Amino acid sequence: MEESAQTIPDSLVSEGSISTAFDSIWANSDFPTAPLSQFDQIMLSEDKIFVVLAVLTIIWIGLILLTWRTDRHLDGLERRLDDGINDEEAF
Amino acid sequence: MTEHPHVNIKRYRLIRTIVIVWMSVIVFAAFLLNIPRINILEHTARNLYFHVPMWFTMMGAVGVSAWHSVQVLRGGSIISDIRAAQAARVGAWFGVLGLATGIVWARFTWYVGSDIWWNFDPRQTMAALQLLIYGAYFVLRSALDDPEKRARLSAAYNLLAFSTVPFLLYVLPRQMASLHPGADGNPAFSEMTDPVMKLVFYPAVIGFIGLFWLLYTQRVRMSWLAYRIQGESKY
Repeated sequence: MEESAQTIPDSLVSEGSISTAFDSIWANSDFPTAPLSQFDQIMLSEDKIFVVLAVLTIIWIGLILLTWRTDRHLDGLERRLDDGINDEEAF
Repeated sequence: MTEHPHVNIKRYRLIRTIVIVWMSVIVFAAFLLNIPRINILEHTARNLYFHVPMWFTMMGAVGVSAWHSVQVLRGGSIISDIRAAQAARVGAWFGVLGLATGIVWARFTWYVGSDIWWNFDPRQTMAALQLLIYGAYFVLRSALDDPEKRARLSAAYNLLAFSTVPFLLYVLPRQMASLHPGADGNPAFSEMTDPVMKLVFYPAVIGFIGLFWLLYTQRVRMSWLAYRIQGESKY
């Protein structure tokens, strides 16, 4: 158990859940075949909750970027408006 | 408060407040509601609340865009062109987020332990193709300087792009062998989703569509302002 815990995440050998039938299939296979990288170990820990965090973070950053672009466009328009007013004053 | 000729500001502010509160509750509920564990999927089943509404929102957005493009072709004013362009822009942005979240989700479920991020799964490939089709819409818009010509040509292309959506995002992926739920031989959403998840999923869809409406309305206001300040050629 100690040794297999290094390559197979706890989530793949859990028992007594709603998916026991599937569990037994996967627990008996040698899946996954390659040792997991550090990154994979983190992402697959805690029953893969960090994958949900990653997905939510992508959406959050995406919404920030869109708002950022809108903001920059508005900055440009404000500058144009100011320039126009200054031109009128100059005359 | 200045009146905006094309946006009901009072309604906009009301919906803005509702969407902010609504989405905050969704994010909490998405993590706190207890759901049945399915192997491989585990907690990533909660991505249903975030990844799937991206595509529902994208489809709704390009629908709004296509409707305004029809108005342009029927002799609509500049605001129809502005609305078509901005709905497509925000909608495509949601599509990009849908693809990006899908890639991450697939990496730790379909491709767990194999170090694969992209394997040309038909579902993902069709989605990427769909986004490229809409990417061409923005390229077309930026390539045309004459406002009248730009409005009409891009409206015609937009309707062509919209006509591909049901096939690329729905019909074709369901006929091909894909790891995505709902594909040939795979159970679809209604067959595999626990009823308790629908308590968060449907409100999440409504919330993200509301969020789209906010961002879209902001950009319509911005674009109208650009038209007023810079004239017809730039908005």
